[in-house]
Amino acid sequence: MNMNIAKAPAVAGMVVCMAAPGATAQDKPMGFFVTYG
Amino acid sequence: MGKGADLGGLAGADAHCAKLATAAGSTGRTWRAYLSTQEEGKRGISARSRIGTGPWYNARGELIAVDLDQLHINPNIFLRTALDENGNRVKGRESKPNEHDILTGTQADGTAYFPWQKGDKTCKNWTSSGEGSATVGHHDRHGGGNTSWNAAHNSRGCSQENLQSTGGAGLFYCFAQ
Repeated sequence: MNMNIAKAPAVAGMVVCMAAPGATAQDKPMGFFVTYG
Repeated sequence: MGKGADLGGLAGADAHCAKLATAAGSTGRTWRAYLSTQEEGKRGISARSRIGTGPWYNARGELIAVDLDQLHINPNIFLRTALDENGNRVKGRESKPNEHDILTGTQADGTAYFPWQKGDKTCKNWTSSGEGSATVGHHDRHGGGNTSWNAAHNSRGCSQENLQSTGGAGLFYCFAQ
């Protein structure tokens, strides 16, 4: 899932927040799962 | 494993978590099974004390909880998000067989039972595949009038057959510290 959030051109003094190009949900390291014992 | 609630104790369950996580590509993390224990005359080890401080994400990068408080008050643990290490769903109440009972041996706040709370709640500290009982949660948050993910009811026994008879299969949660 690409996070291309900010499309509008920035103006002076405006802070633009956007995700890093190519950032995906998979960038979050797995820290939880369910398994069979 | 396939031996009911005999997980080889906490160490065996932890090793199982680590093995599966590594095979799924996880590196550099310490894995712990979300399980409590019981001891004679004092409280055992609490599951919540074993799993670090968060945040925790599932295999698809979805946030489960930011910290221990959220995990035990309002976690994002549901059928859609409580996935296995490869991002696959685990069978819930609408599936046949239903496998939504997840072994925890834990009270709802994530702590071990008090010594005055009589009865086996941990299948003899995760070494029994016969006599005993264990507290289970429901990863799909349905069934039995209790939506708890970690403390819904106690199992009928500790054998694989008994776990299956109440909607389980000997599953448990793994968390990275």
